[in-house]
Amino acid sequence: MRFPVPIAIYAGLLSLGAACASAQVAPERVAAPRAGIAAAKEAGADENPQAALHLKLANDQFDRAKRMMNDGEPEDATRMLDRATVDAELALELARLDNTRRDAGDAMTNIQKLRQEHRMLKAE
Amino acid sequence: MIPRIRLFAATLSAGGLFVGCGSTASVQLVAARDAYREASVGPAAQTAPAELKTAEEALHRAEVSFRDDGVSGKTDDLAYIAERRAQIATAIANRRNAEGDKERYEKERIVVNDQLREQTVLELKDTKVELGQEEDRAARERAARIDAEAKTDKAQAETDKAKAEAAAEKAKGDDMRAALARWAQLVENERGLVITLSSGLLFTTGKSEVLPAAGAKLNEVTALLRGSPTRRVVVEGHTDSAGSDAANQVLSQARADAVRSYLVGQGVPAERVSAIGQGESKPIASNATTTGRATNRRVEIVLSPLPVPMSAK
Repeated sequence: MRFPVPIAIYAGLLSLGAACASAQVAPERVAAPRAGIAAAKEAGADENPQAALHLKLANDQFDRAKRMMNDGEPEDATRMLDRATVDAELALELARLDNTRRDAGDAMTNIQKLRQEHRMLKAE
Repeated sequence: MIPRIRLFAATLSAGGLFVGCGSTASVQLVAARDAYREASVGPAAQTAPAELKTAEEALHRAEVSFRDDGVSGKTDDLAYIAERRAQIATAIANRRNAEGDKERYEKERIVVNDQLREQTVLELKDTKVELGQEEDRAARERAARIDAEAKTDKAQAETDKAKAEAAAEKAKGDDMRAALARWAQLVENERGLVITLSSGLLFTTGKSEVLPAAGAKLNEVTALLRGSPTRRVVVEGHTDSAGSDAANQVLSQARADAVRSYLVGQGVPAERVSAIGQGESKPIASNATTTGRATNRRVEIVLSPLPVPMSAK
């Protein structure tokens, strides 16, 4: 008797380099991109074009991973989740970089402002 | 399905023995290798070595997958992750550098703030000193002005006082003259001030003793003389033409002396007053009439003319 096995599982089994075929995706692998996307948004990734791009990639890949999980493709799903996670991380780092550069610029401007104020006070 | 095809393709190309050997790296794997290379020569080498190592390990995993399984979805996924890891390392390195800049600027800002504050304090001190000096200067000028004004006022007051005294003296003099004028004639002419008193007021007929009643009147003259201490005084006795010239001369001299003595007795300095008898030689009216003769019978007290006044009126 033949069990109706989805082709995807065959594909998964035949997948080269796969150590084992897990039917489930580890929960932490699912949580990782979700947390990463949230963190990136928190850091203002939406406001930076580069960061926003990778945030979008993270979201799209996360959605694809969920579909793969539904389709019973845990290995592909896992790798897709990993891709989403790393895109979210890059989005976060790009946002943080942007913020820090802006702070550094402000700090530099503050010095100029200080000097200017002092000059103006003297001139009075 | 797809993995099977890949396996087949790999077998075909490799000659069946080693899967993946001889196959060309996918676009994704090439991108990952490029990304790592870029990152390793960028700031990550210095400022994010750990993260760069992580990227290297990720690339290694992709390369192993490629070596073992050739071009595949898994290899591409691993390569994709490796590419991102390299990019993350660079981003982190840049952020750390920017944080360093920010720290340096903030430190500099504190230093500059302190410097400027110090400068301001010093400038304030200078300003205060300047202000203080200005105030002192202004105060001194005010004091000097007040002094000058006080001096001017004092000088003015003295001038006013002198004027008032002179005016009072003059008024007194005027009063005295007015008083005198009730019974004497006062005339200011080229001889000076001529006070003419009728002999009948001063003497009994033919006598040369000053009548006691006349004392009061002569005292008024004395007061007038005291008011003009610089003027020399000549007392002149005059008679009418009745009687002999000689007798009239003697009488008029005696009378002039008597009046002089009285004045000196009243405190007029002796050297100031002289007496002279003019007899009948200087009539001022006609001796033909009774009134004329009465007029000629007189004593004239002459105050010498005043020199041109030195003080401004």
